[in-house]
Amino acid sequence: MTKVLLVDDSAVMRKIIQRNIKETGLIVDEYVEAGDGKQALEKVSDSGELDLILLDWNMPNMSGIEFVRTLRSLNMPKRIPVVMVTTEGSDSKVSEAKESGADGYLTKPFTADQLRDTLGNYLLVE
Amino acid sequence: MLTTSYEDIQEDIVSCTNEIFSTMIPMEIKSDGSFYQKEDMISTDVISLVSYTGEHSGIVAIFCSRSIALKITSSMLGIEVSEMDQDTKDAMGEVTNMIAGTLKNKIFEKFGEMHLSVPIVIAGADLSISSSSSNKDGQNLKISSGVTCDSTNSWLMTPFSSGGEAFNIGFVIKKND
Repeated sequence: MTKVLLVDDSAVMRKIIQRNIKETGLIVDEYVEAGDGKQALEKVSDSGELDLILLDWNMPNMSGIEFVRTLRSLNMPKRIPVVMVTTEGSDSKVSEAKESGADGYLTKPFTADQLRDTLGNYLLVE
Repeated sequence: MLTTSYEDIQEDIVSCTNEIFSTMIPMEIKSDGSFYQKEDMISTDVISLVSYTGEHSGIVAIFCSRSIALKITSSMLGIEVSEMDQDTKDAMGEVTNMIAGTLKNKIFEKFGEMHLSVPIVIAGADLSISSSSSNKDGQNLKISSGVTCDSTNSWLMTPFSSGGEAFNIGFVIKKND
């Protein structure tokens, strides 16, 4: 049972990511969705065990980078991998994300191969 | 005639937009040069914009008709969309966000580090960028994103077409005092 938390203020982008994951053969059994970092923190505490978090950067209320910093400051029983999926693609942003506790980084727009290569480190492929 | 620096940016806008459409929006587009347009001459159905803040302030915006917005959304989602609903606004905002984010990385050396806003999308009929908030001497316009641009500068417009319909990607930037 693979459960992924998808955090993006764009509902359309959440749909597109789910469709692309399915098309690339990566296995996800359940998605939990959040529209900003604050909602995502609630989902982390309410949704049981999560296998992966896909996280946008620029969002209202709480940004992705604020979310990952807060997440890593919590005393969690298990470290949930976080992959940033964002239009922010500069080297400084990638470094900032990794220093803040993100494990992977995927820049939008992305190809199916880039999605599979990045998420294949955390999800099984059919 | 475009200045050298804006010619570079126009090439970057074309490159970013082609990259986004070729990877995430299965729809053929063609670019067709670029031109300058005064803000008060812009009239459109849909305005989707993302602003930059930093040493420079700027805006990247898509100006388009309702029908091309629906076409782009349908292509993005892989389903027929016929209403200018929340999904359409969301999709247009995300396209603008990707263009602005990709462009930011290409123009970083010229304009320095800049932060991206979340997208703002406005849909209606014959929309224009408001000049009603011009100050007394009329030199500045306060755009709804909160970015102030010098009205003496026109927008760099880069037109694209697909299946007989067109949309423009606008770009404006100024150095902060």
